[in-house]
Amino acid sequence: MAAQIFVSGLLIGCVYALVAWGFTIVYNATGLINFAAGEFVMMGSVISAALSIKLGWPALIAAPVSICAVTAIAALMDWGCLQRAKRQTPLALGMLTIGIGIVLRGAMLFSFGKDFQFPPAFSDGEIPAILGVNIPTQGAWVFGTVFIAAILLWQLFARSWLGWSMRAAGESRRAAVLMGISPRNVSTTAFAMAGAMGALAGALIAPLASANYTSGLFFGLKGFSAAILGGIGSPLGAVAGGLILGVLENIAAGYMSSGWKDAIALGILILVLLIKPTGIFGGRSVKRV
Amino acid sequence: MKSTLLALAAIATLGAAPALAQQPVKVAAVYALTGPIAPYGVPQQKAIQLRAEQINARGGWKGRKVEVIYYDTEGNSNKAVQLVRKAIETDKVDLIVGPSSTGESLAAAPIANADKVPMITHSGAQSVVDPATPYVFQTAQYDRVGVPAVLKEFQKKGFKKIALLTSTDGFGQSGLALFKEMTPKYGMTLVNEQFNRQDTDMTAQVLRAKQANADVMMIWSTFPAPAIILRNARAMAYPKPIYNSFAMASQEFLKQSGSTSENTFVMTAAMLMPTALPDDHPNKQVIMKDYEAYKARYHEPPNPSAQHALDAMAIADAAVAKIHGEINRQSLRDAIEKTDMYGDNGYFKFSPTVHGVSDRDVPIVFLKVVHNAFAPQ
Repeated sequence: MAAQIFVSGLLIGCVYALVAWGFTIVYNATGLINFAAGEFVMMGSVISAALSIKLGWPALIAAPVSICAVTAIAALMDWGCLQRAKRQTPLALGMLTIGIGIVLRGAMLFSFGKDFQFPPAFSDGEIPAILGVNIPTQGAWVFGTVFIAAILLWQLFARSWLGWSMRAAGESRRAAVLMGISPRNVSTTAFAMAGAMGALAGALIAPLASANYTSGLFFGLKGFSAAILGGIGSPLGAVAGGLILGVLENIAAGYMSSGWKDAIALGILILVLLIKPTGIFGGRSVKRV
Repeated sequence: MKSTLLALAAIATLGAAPALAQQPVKVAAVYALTGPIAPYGVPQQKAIQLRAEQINARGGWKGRKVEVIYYDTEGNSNKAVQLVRKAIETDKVDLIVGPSSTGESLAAAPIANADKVPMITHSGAQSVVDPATPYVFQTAQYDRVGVPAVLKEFQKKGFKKIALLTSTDGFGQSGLALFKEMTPKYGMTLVNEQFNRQDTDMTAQVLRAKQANADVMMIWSTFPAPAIILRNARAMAYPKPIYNSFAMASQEFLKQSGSTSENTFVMTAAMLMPTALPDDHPNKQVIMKDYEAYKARYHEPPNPSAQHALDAMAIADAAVAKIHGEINRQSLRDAIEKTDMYGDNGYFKFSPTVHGVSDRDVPIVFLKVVHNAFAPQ
């Protein structure tokens, strides 16, 4: 039972990790908390579900298409709205992201309806239990895809010019401009990447957990908690925070009380922050204050 | 509307008493005809239409035609309140049927009481008529009559230990409280696991149910959690029978759960499949008749939510037969309170303290999912 609970926790933790990483990318590049991050997950799941259920597209085509669509929406949100705001303060922009999140939720409601949709899994078949641990087929897709995405993103940030300029813009906007980096482009790219990662998470989890226009708040909250737990600003922290939160929730549900699961997991989050306010892997963010 | 006004004008100018007798009895049907809960409201509107046609075809109520005015609440409680006010004050209705949801009913009930207009709601929660208020009645089967039906079924099958999975929302918590209260009376034990309605994975809860070695799993939740639980249960090859509450008695559930609901059970009002009810059940004939009439009129089987509206009009119809004088708001209310009849939802025996369906012989059946369709066991 312990192994099963651990693996199930890791599975949902992978999704939290992707959302948390999206928070981190935007935060590092712009200093903003993007409260619409959960809506990216929601849109990824709702659009891919609509494509595969209503239009009958295979999941392996519907998912990339929905990811592209959400990436475009996220980039547009930054380029068309946030960058054009009169007051470029973190508070005003943060409020804008909340507003945009509400608009996106409404748009999905009107475009795709209010039903809970369960799109088909990416592939058929069942995986036999390994050491008494069952993993649904879709779960294997989640683990595999998130693993590959994590490696790719890591390479992108550590080794590529894009990653350097994003980190530079986050470190000091002014210095980045002097070095020939456009903070606007960096910001739009960061939003696009957060959109892509959120949509990936949404498309992956929809066959297991359903797609619905209201699910954004839930994923946004969990992803944000994971990012804070890991230490906001640290990609490694985001991934670790997501996985830890997922496992903690499942341990709470499996060994303590299932009704108090969220309270226990978030209570531990508060405890961690009291002991180490920068989060498990954080540290740098203190400098910003 | 226009014709009603014209009729009123004609009466006003003539000022003749006999003309009043020909004035229709006005019934307000306050339903969500659009919006998120329209799947409940639309079949209810059709059911009211069917009943009004039946009554008018045999000459109406004491020679007066039944005129139904429909109001669309969009599932919004504020709107329901406004429309009930409009029905009472502007359209001067004699009876209100609906609203369909608990939220709308709770909001609208005080107005019916304040303005002294009888209202027959279809809320699935007992709180609307418990304690009973003078002018508000209810037709839907609520969980207090549903839970004993489940326990009787489990007793019949010889289950001793129930693993109850409930959501942490109102529906789940209300069900949990009833199971906790009633399970000991049937000599059974209960283990409870909970989850939030939006949770994405209930593997831990299903594992605990499996470890508790219960004889049966009962899922008491609204969408979409049951479909997720069935997926989790399938993934770990949960060995015992799984039952779902009447909240899942819909095609939507079959669509969401896909192959994972195969061989599980769903409790439902008999209207979904009247043939599953034993022939000697006291409600069988009424339900079969209404089912066939609805099907003949609309060329589609009635959704179980239609039965709440069918019962509301049947109760009003039976009440009218008891009225000796004029049909008005007060005489209707007094007669409705004396209701004693078998309806589609069960046995109605109203009294000043009971304004809802009784738990005697509730026509609830347990269907098995076979090839992604409901089938009798």
